[in-house]
Amino acid sequence: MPIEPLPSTGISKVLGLCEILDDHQGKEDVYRLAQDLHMPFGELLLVIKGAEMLGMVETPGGDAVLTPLGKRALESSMNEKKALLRQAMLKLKVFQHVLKLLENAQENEVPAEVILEELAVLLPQEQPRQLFTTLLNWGRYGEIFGYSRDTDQFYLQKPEKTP
Amino acid sequence: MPAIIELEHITKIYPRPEGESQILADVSLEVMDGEVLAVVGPSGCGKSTLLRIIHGLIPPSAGVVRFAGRAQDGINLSCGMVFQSFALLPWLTVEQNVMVGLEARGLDDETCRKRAMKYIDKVGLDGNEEAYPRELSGGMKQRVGLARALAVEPKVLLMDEPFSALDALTSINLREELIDLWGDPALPVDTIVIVTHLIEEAVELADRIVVLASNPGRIVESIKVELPRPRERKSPEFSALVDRVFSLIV
Ligand SMILES: Nc1ncnc2c1ncn2[C@@H]1O[C@H](COP(=O)(O)OP(=O)(O)O)[C@@H](O)[C@H]1O
Ligand SMILES: [Mg+2]
Repeated sequence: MPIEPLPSTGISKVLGLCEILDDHQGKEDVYRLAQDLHMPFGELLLVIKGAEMLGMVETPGGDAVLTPLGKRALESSMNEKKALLRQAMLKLKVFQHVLKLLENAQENEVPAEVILEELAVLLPQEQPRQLFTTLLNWGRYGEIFGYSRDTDQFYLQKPEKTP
Repeated sequence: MPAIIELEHITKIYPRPEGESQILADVSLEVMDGEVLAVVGPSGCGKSTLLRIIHGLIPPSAGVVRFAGRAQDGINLSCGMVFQSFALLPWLTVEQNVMVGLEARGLDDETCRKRAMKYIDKVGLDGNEEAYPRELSGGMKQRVGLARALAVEPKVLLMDEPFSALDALTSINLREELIDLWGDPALPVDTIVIVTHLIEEAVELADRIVVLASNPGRIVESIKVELPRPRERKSPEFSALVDRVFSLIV
């Protein structure tokens, strides 16, 4: 299976979408949703795509449907929700790829340049900068990897000491 | 439920070149301990001014503010404020942004760091400690704003249009998480005063809604919201209440 790019959208929006779908008994026509939310259709499609890749939403026909996983995320505590999203992200090839790269790197970190080049090779049709930003934002939320602008290094998150 | 904040006959007058301008006229209001109070009203009616007076950032021209029974003079350190504009320091990381307010209160380094970590965790920002504000989406920026306000462990959280700069999906996510935080027994904050011009937002969040009218700003109505939580945004009762508040504003 080819690597799928991440849509340029954020986790807060994905979670908001799940809330909205829950309000609509778990299912709504995508076009009506865009009208309801006064949101540009194209932007909503990116959110739906993101939610779908994370397994929180399905899109049969022209509808967006909340999955049991999406519903569970809404009912979870903050840390459960983050753990759940982390697991969902780790099922995606692009995360697996970057994770492997970091695991094999010295000190588990590489310059941001390396990630950018890697993304450009993996997904030549995409804007590497944009993809980098989305990957980083999702990865930070899932506590998978981080980035320091001060050192310009992309690094593996150390395992959390969760209480 | 006793009142935690009491406003008695608050008036605010600003000098203007063409003469004085009365912004708030004889506003009397009690904020009950443990409630979420929403203040709604048209743009320019004095909502932000009222919130700043509660916080003690600006003095009223006349009238008294009491906090826990005591007349207030100057900034109230038992309040934390969240702003529409996020009010983050762009040259500091997330963690440093959360810590500055604590350092200003004279807490030692170790305590500051622990406190910052606790609230970064509570608002879901774990993993973003090293990020700078400009690397973050609007929703994540406002989580930093929230963590900053909560980290000083205020009794009362003051919020000035906190979700108005965010898109519809992000704001719905943050509103849900705010109510979770408010219900979290591990957090000292148990009273919230939120200013908004969005009626749905007020009905979704508040136990009580105070409606202000403009010129000069004054209270026209106080409405109890008795809808059970979590609130059903699509229920007829919810819509009916939105309509009722709307009719008071226009
Ligand atoms: N420092 C100030 N000096 C003079 N006028 C002010 C000042 N701050 C606010 N105002 C005026 O007070 C009125 C109410 O402002 P504000 O409290 O910001 O309203 P709201 O938050 O409801 O939109 C506005 O007409 C505004 O122009
Ligand atoms: Mg205002």
